[in-house]
Amino acid sequence: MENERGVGKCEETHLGSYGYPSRPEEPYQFCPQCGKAMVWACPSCDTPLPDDSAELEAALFCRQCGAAYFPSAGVDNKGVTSRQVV
Amino acid sequence: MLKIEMSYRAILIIALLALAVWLWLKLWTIILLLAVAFIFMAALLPYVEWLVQRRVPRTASVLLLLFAILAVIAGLSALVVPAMIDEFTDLRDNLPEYARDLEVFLDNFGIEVELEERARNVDWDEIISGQAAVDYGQRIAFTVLAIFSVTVLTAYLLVDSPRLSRLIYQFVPPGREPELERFLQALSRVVGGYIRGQLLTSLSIAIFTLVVLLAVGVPNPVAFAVLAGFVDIIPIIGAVIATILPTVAAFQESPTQAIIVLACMILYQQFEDRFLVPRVYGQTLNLSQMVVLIAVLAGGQLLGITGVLLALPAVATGRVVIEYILEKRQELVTPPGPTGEPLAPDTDTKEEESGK
Repeated sequence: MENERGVGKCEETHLGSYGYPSRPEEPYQFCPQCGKAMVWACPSCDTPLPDDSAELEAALFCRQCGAAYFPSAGVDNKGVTSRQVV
Repeated sequence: MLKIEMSYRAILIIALLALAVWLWLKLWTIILLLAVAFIFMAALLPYVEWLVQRRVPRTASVLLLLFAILAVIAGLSALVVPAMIDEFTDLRDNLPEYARDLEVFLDNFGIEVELEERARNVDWDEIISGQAAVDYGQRIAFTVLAIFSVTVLTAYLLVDSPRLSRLIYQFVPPGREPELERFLQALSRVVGGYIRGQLLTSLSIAIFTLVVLLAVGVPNPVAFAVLAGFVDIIPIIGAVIATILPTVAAFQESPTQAIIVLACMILYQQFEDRFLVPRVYGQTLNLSQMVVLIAVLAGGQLLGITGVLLALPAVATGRVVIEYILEKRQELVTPPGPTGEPLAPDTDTKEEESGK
């Protein structure tokens, strides 16, 4: 049986993965680099994060439902964080 | 006076390159065997995984598969080799007679050539001399050794493929694994597809040759059919050999039979090139004839018959690598945004958003 695989990232755009050879078998909760929460799927609709690394790094919102991946960071659905908006 | 300044990094790179070239020159035979083993591994891995999923231990799966393949090759060789020795002996003993038949046949079309005399003057002792036997013996010994080495290397690679996979993934930064996976799958599809496609085309030409030779009444039809299947592996030249050998065998019966066989084989080659190959390989080996020709010539010049055999999978693999590099370069120029569109500069976005 094919084991489950996926990619994710934290709020600081540190990328992670699980299920691949030499990687953790399960998705882990916190980023090993900064300790912030890891996101592996859309918190709203559970769609997995994009598996293209460039897209994964840039993505802030879910393709399927438009929900922010890091709502706690104050990201609105206009594509910028509310902290950045002057 | 010219003064050249170089950083330690540049010196290190040049030293490493020189080391790589020296190693390549010293170890090219082993590298070549390893490359062939990797090609076979890519072709056989899906079948090993299929057996492993059905609870057959990995080592047993690999051994089972390799022994089955070697048994088939040995069986086919046992069919071909004695028959070819018979054909060669017959040709050597009766060459002047066949030459006379050809002279008479060509004379009917107003073509006059002196073949019988030339056939009588062929110095067979020189062709099959002691030195030639030693040369052939050495080549056969080297081929047997190469087949044995490739088989053992392929077996190790197949058994160790999970460990090999872990090793490769260790060099990839987190989050980029799916790209490596897609890249490896593309390589496996191209190389494995080439081998599977080649098996199909070889089987097809073997069956066609068998049917034609049986219908025309040429001796040793099975041996010639198997041989046609084997030589079909060689790009471009294989088609010529697969046509010439049964035609010569048919000529030993009569020139008319030879012409029928020749016509059928030429028609088949057209069918294979225009219909079979595009459908069997599809996009797997979507290479222009010019690229194939250049690759085969370069492969032959560099590595002889091995180079000719490796030319197509090497070029197809090269195409996958170049496509991957171009895709990455394109991403660097226009990194995709959350919707796949190029990202707008941060500052502009902020200003626009705040302006609204």
